[in-house]
This record gives sequence, structure tokens and C-alpha cells, in this order.
Amino acid sequence: MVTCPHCSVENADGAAFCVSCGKALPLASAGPKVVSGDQFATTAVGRGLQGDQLKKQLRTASNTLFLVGVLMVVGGVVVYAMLQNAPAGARKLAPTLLVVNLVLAAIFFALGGWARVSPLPAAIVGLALFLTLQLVNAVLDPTTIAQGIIVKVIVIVVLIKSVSAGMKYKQLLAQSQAA
Amino acid sequence: MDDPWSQPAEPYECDGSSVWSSADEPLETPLDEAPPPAPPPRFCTACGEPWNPSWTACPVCQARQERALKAASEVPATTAPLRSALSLYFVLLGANLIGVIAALVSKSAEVEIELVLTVVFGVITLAYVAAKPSRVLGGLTTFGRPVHYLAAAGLGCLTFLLAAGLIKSLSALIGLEEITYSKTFLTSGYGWGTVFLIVAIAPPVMEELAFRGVVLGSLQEVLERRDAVLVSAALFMILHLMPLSFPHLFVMGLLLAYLRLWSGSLYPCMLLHGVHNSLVLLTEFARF
Repeated sequence: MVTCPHCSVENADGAAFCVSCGKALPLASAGPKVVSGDQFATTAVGRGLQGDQLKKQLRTASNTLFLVGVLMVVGGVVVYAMLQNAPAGARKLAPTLLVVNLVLAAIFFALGGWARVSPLPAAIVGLALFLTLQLVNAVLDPTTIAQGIIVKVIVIVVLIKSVSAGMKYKQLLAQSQAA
Repeated sequence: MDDPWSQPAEPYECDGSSVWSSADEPLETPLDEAPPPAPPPRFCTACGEPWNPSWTACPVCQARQERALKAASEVPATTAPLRSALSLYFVLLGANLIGVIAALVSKSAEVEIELVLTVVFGVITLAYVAAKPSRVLGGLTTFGRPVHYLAAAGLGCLTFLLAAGLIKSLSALIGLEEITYSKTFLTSGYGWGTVFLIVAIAPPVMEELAFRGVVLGSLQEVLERRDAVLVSAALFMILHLMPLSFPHLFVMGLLLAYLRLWSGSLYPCMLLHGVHNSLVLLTEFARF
């Protein structure tokens, strides 16, 4: 029960205005309002801060995509070198695998560059491509799933976070336009 | 004049008398009686507006809630369209990979697996179309103008030349044997009719429905036009799982997406794709 400071009438908990005199009642929690992760800030300043935070998350998408590109170049070269010592059948595939790895690396570099300008679509494509690669590798050679699994998981998590940060940023922009 | 404040107060002594005749007598108002009914509200406790006694609910609060709901529903960019597009991509990829596994397990049934995969692809695509027809219906009920079909046919030839050129040079570069689409079918006893259906008819129709229909339509709800085109082309390219074909597949994806947007219809896209695939088959036919 909340007592109205103006007319001393008792009001129910949670009432914002007095039922008897209509004047505003003191709030249970006066002070700064804490905005949880799912909510959007209600003031322009708050939205600006949230926007900056989301943009920072989107920056990591670009760096992650560049990193994947580098890993593919390194991985491609390593596989090519290893296959030089393999039996003839496997050695024949070596140039193909190298070209494939380099093509994919080039795509990731291009995505990384695109992400600097338009992070959301680049992160979407990067995520789809990376997951596809992991799935294809898992099907063709299940023993490779565990290799570098930590890096793979980190990349996937970062890209998913980037996509969801990008979507949230769009919603934030749309909300501030609607407000 | 008697000024009560100027007179000294008379001392008052408590003589033990009280309102109650005796402390042992029961209270006049027993404590377990029901409290008096609350007086009718005079103001709304949520918004402070004066309360009309005939109300059961505050219309000011209701109006405010309706306005907030309306504003919330107008804000675009929910994640549902993105989830739709990506889930279609990954479901199709999953079907593709299951086909790959099946082909690895039973090498002799490659053709049958390919046939089943084509049907499964179609069923999945149609399911997604049926889930939200509004995304695709526009493209199916609009037919475009003759210029769109002429452009489609011409571009289909261009993409074929691009593909042929790229594949040839890449194959020569790495010494890879060129793959054909029809060989496995023909050696298994299926005729060119089946091959034509599986290569030049079904994929154009179904892939256009999937990528230029569902995927492009969904992505346009959350991305700008240019970004939606790029992402749909990229997903189209990746799904084929042939890295050596990526360059020409991406170009094709871009052309198909822009054709869809220019003509407003999916049919010119199906024509472009069909012309491209038919030319691929024709060159294989010529070789045999």
C-alpha cells in the first residue's frame, strides 16, 4: 500500500496516480532506469550508446572474416605441401585443393572488406559459407571435425553474434525513426 | 476579547478516565469485521485522468495502449524473414549433403540418388513457398514484358559462354578432368529426355522459386535491395558446392536477381536459367 503524500489516502501497490486526488505518487524505484539486453533505450542519447555498442560488435565480424581468409591460405598451402609426399592418387588432387582453398580464401577476404562497409550482409554470407565448408568437410572426412574445433566454434559464434547485432542495429534505427 | 493563545494553558492531568468506560469492555468495533467498502475511484491510478463513475476501464489508457501496439507493429525488421531465408538454404544444403553421403555409400545408385534429390529439392522449396505465399506470389502472377524474355535468353547464352570459358581455363590450369552432367545418366540407361528434365527443366524452375522467390523476397524485408541481391546470389553460388564454378555462379545469381527485380516476374529468370543449362547439355550432346 502506498500512501498519497498529498491527501493521505491509501493506494494499491503499483498505482502511479492517487485514486482520490489524481496527483502523481512517488515511484518505488526512483533513479536511473536500467535497460536490459533485449530492450531498446528510450532516449536519443541512450539509443546512440546502444548503437555504438552494436557497431563495435559488427567490427569484429570484419576481422573474423579476414582471419578465416588467412587460415584458408595457410591451410591450403600446408595441405598442398603435405600432399607432395602422398601416393600418386592423392597427389593428383593437390593442385585442385590448393586452388579451391585459395578461391575460398579470396571470398573470405572479399567478405571481410565488404563487412567494413556493410557488416550485416557480409556476416550472413560469411556464416553461411563457413558453416557450409565445415559441414562438407565433416561429410567428406569426419575425422577432420575435431581438428581446430575451438577455432571453428569461435568463428561460428562470432559470426552469429555479428548477424544478430546487425539485425538489432536495424531494429534500433527503425525504432528511433518511428519514435 | 478572549484570545485563547494568550491565556496560559491550564494544566491537564490525566485522571485515568478514557473514552472507553472500562479497559475490560470489548471494543465497539470488533477487529475481525469486514473493512468498509472502498470509495469509488475518482482518478485513474495508471494515468491520473478523472474517472467517470460509469466506467469499468479507463479509455485514455486503452487508447494509449492501442497507439503503442500500432507503432510497434509498424516497425519493420523482425528476424523472421532472415531466419526463413537462411533455414531454406541450410535445409537444401542438408538434403544435398545427405545425397553426397548416399552417393559415397552406394556408388552404383548415383543416378537414382540424383533423381530423388531433385524431387526432394522441389518438395522443400514448395513447402517454403506455401508457408508464406505472399513473398513469391507477386513473382508468379506477374509475367513481365517480351523485352525481359529476350534479355533472359541473351543473358543465358552469355552466362553459358562465361561458364564454359572459366571452367575450361581452370580445368586446364589444374589438370582436372571436366565433369559432365549427363554421363552418369546415359551410362545407366536413362535417355536424353530424363537428362533434359533433370538438368534443364527442374533446376531452373525450383532454384528460381527458392532463390529469386523465397530467399530474395525474404531478404528484401530485412536488407536493402542491393544487399539482398548480393546475399541471394552468394547463397545460390555456395549451395552448388562446386568452388570452381563459384565465379560464374555468382555472376549468374546477380543477373537472375536483377532480372527478377527488373521484370517483377520469376518466369524470365526461369528462362535464363533454362537456356544456360540447356546449352551446357547441348555441348555434352555434341560431344557424344
